[in-house]
Amino acid sequence: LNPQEIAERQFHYFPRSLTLPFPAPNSIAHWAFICDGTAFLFVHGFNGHATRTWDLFPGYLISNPVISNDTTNLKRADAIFYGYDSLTKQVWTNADRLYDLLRLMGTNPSDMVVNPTLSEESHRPPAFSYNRIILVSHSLGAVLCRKALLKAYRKKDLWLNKIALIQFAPADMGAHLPILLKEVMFPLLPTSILYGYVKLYAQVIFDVSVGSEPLKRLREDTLECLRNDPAAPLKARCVVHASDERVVVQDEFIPDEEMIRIDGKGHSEVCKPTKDYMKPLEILIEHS
Amino acid sequence: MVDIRTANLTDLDNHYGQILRRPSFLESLHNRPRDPKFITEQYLGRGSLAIQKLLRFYGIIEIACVANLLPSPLPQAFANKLIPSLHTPFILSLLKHDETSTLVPHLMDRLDGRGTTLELHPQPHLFIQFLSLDHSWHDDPLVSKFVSLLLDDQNDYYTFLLRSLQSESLAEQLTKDYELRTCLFSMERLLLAADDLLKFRRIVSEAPLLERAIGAYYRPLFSRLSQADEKIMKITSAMKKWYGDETDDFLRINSLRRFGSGWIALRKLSRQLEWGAQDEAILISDPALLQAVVDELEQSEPVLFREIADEIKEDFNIAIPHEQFLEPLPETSEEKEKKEPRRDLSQE
Repeated sequence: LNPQEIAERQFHYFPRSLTLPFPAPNSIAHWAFICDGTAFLFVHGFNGHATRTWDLFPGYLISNPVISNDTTNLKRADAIFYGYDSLTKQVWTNADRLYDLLRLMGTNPSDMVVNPTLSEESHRPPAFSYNRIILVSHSLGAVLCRKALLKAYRKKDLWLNKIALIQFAPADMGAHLPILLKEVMFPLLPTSILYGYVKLYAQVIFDVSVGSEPLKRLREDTLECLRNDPAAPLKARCVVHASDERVVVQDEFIPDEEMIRIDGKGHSEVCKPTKDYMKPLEILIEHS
Repeated sequence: MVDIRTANLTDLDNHYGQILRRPSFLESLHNRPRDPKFITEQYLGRGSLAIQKLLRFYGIIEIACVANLLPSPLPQAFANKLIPSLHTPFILSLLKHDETSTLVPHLMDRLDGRGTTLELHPQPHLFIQFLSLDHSWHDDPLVSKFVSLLLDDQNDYYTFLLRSLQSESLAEQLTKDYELRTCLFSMERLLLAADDLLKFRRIVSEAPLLERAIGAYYRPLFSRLSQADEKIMKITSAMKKWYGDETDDFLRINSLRRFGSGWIALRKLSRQLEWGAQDEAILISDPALLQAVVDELEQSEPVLFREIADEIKEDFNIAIPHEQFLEPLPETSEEKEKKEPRRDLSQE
């Protein structure tokens, strides 16, 4: 590639921290230089990290030469890697904040989400809006997404129709606590100490344990909405489960559009593309 | 709408060029002495993080130029901002004695209109991914907190932490004590960050310019850590004792695997970022801990664990490169003693 061709392969501004009206730790946005109205919003899981959970996803999504050569519009899509306090804030708070972000993206993205992070000469016009928001979640993030979408449905938000949900190793049917603690929390600490800590400071974990009341209620409420309105846009486009899953319960939350099994991957790895494992990216392209 | 290269320049300037907007810093830059001895001390990161930030900014600008991500030539207004700081006697003298800032002379040539001899084109997507990685943890408050807790001699958090780890009532303390929790969780973040950086170094092997620069960018952090490496080792030893308390085999192995790989990452980074040999020697001077990790992993069924065990063993047989900009300090008798068990381990 000559220098000109190299430069022509940059389709996004350099990454920048997201500034929102509420805390969103480590959130990173890759704004497309020319956006066609598509946005990917990534939501990590319990004790995850805005970008680390997705590992090489940001690089593959926005600038992998192989991808940029294909016919998809990834090069013209925004990508937001959203971070939240998944330890000390409970599911309701985090889901409500995610709802707020989706509402901002669905109603007034220029003024409230994109432009505050861009220099003035790069601002998008006030009339800019998203046509599609692909909500990609992992583990606990899936619970937040389900809850946020349910709230949007109940509030009759019009932007809900723009959302497409893709879930990796969702914890919406519950997680096995001891393994969750060790697998995705603090592997350096013995279980007895972890339990002591989470009892006092990370109650969120009890919200997603197997058989928890909040999860049961979320499922019942979602199913009820679907019974009353089978066309309600609450189903996931795709739910991805790992064959070596040990953390979350693999079962159907609601009759989603598609469930996929990926062999040879565990809970944490299933959402992380690598040079030899491009399936997560292919799923996004196929279902977005 | 501005073109993307101009936008890139504004972004980099806003994010990394803050240091040049501090009048007091610029003034101090002009007043700094040119004595090579003084510069060496500064260079080692024991003094001026501000200088490291400045060199980092220059380096990032130069790489972005080489990758053709910035306007060419650089706008005069921007060049005018950089040139005064680049041409201070201190920086000029620093560059003569300092081998890590290899990108800066190229930037100077570029700004002086002499062109640059660099022909390596780092792939833009790698540079952008590096910026993303950098955003996500370079200024991670927990990592910074861990380093400052260890180095804060005034409050001596280190003694407090070590005592807590050795205490019978650790679980109880952990639920009550904010500093203790912060310190432990920060340490884990540090290990994860080291793991990230190591992984990224593998990825950027196709962009040697970027690979070479990363060592310089992250030296201040690891240089600061190297001041606390003995303390880190004592903390890890205390953690090892914990593992004896864990009865669940799966959790025990899993913990050890995660800890082992994180710890290896930190140690590998220390070598790849070319710390002094004495730092490496200290970091790997706990053969009992290392042996425990290897034993545990070798007995594990999943192949991955055994691979990590092999990796550890292999590492211990690799001679430490001595191409550092620093001449290795003469070994003290204490260091020699610490190295002995290493040889024992490799023989096994």
